[in-house]
Amino acid sequence: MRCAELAVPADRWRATCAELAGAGHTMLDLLTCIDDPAAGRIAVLVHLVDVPGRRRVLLRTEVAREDPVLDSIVAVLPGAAWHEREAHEMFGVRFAGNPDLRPLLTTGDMGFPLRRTTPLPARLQAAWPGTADPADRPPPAPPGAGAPRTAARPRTRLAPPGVPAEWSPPTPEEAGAP
Amino acid sequence: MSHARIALDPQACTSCMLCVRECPTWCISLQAHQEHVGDPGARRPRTVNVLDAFTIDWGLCMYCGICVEVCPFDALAWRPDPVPATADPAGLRHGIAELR
Ligand code: SF4
Ligand code: SF4
Repeated sequence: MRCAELAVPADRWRATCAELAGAGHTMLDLLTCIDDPAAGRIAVLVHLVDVPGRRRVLLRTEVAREDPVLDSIVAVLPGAAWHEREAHEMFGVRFAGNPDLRPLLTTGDMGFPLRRTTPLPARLQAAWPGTADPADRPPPAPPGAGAPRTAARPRTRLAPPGVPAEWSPPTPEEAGAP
Repeated sequence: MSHARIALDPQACTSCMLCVRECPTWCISLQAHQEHVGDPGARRPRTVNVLDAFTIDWGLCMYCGICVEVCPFDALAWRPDPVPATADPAGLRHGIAELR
């Protein structure tokens, strides 16, 4: 089933959802957000499916990260209530007109967990397994061989992908271990 | 083929670390060392990685399949039988023997 992609300004969000629902896209599959700290925006996306018509649309809009407010689409698609509640909890987007934006999982004291700038405590506590390197355990030098003629190739310290450098746990040297 | 868990072919794995480094949940770990192979008299003996341990923690794995996609040597593949339930989370960490 092909998926049409559509972007609208935030003030057209609810009206466009209503038009799509009126045109048969009545199944709400997903409503979620993508945080873009560099651009200072949060994208809000909704995936709507017209099941008998075998059509689907991915509708997208953007709100300012500083003050993310968007019209709720609960009046158009009641199933969006729970998704908006979750997006509010995880990304801090306020959906004007949604009657119940209470958090589902968090106690509200750790920021917005799915914003890219929110540190993940588990990532800070766990050691990244990717720093291991088989070349750290080279074969023993053959008996009688002198010192290796070439110095060990210096390797840059690898960092876990997707984890900002300022989150990385300190190395033993940086932590001042003996 | 259903995506119930992932199998490792330890003969095919070159310990290249790609899957370990790409896994978003950090649930793969491996240990390897290097050995010389080939003619012992050669001036520059060839070095290969030898896999000592390979672990997937099914308690963390989200079955995204990135490790299967990223492996250049087809050492990882989906298999259809699910991970058996355990009473202890440590039982969800499968080594080479269980992943075969
Ligand atoms: S399926 Fe995804 S989460 Fe599971 S081991 Fe592979 S890369 Fe990691
Ligand atoms: S990507 Fe494949 S070859 Fe490389 S370490 Fe993982 S399983 Fe082994």
